[in-house]
Amino acid sequence: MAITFIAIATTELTSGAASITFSSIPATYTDLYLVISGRTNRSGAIQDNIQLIYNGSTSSQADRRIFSDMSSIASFTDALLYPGLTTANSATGSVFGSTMVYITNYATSNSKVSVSQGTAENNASGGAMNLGVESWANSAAITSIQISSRHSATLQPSTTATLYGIKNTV
Amino acid sequence: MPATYDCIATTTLSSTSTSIVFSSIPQTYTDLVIIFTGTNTTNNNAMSLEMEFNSDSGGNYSYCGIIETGSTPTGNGAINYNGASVGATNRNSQGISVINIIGYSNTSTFKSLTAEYGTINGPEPQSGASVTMWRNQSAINTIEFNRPAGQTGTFDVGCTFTIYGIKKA
Repeated sequence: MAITFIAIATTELTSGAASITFSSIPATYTDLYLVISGRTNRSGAIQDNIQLIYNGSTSSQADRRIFSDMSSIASFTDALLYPGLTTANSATGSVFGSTMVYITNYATSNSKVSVSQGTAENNASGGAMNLGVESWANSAAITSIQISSRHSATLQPSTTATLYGIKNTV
Repeated sequence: MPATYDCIATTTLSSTSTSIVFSSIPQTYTDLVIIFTGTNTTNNNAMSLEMEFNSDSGGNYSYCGIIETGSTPTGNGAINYNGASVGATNRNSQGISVINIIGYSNTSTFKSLTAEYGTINGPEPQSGASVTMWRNQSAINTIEFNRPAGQTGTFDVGCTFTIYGIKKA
């Protein structure tokens, strides 16, 4: 059988950065799977939202999210893409958030729809989780993905992102 | 290193349908991952996506879920349900489900699965997640996707169902 799950690219920050960008994403897969271990320096907060931008465009984006911070739960809708979480400046040191995003049909002319899961554990009180579904209503294939902080904070060293390609070849 | 993530089967609907069946699922993997994307033909309501295993449509499924439809998320569930509730579709808005079936080929345990799903727009946009247990020790060799009893509409042209097998070694 054909190999169907392949790492396209991975980045681990050795110094702070505003964003991580995967560019020149090949159109040879069916779906994409993005895994992020992240932390930002967002001040006064335990967690931060990840923001994704495809092909440099923030138009025609939408998401729906279920968010819980251990004490409450709420739903959100956004006109941007906020899948998953990182930890932030007030979180326990060396603790990173985990996020997984499954992006379907990224190389077709259909809307690019994804589901995501994110956690920002704190090794103390104040952890959070985020479940989401996202859509980019654009007919272009996704050729680049930018990962950044919703609050324009800096991604911290050791933040890691890996992009996998998944092929539905039987 | 051996390949551990294989595409077992995939189908894209060329005509509308209320039921999609994958049979003769090989027993050579440990777990299954299923990806669904698509819309339905219903103008006024969302249509759920359900699964049945080995043609069992009896009340042998238990599930627990969380869902939001624009207000505070709520929990739901049932202990004697007639299938696994794993998604939602709308008309003109792509729905998505990512489903993980754990130990599907095991013949000594009940089968459990997780699902995360959503649809951004449409008459009843929503997002949610669920866990389901099928109270049966048989290996899963047939998976049927259908709409729940009492709902209307069909899976529209372009709906895609893909099953991947994962090996632990």
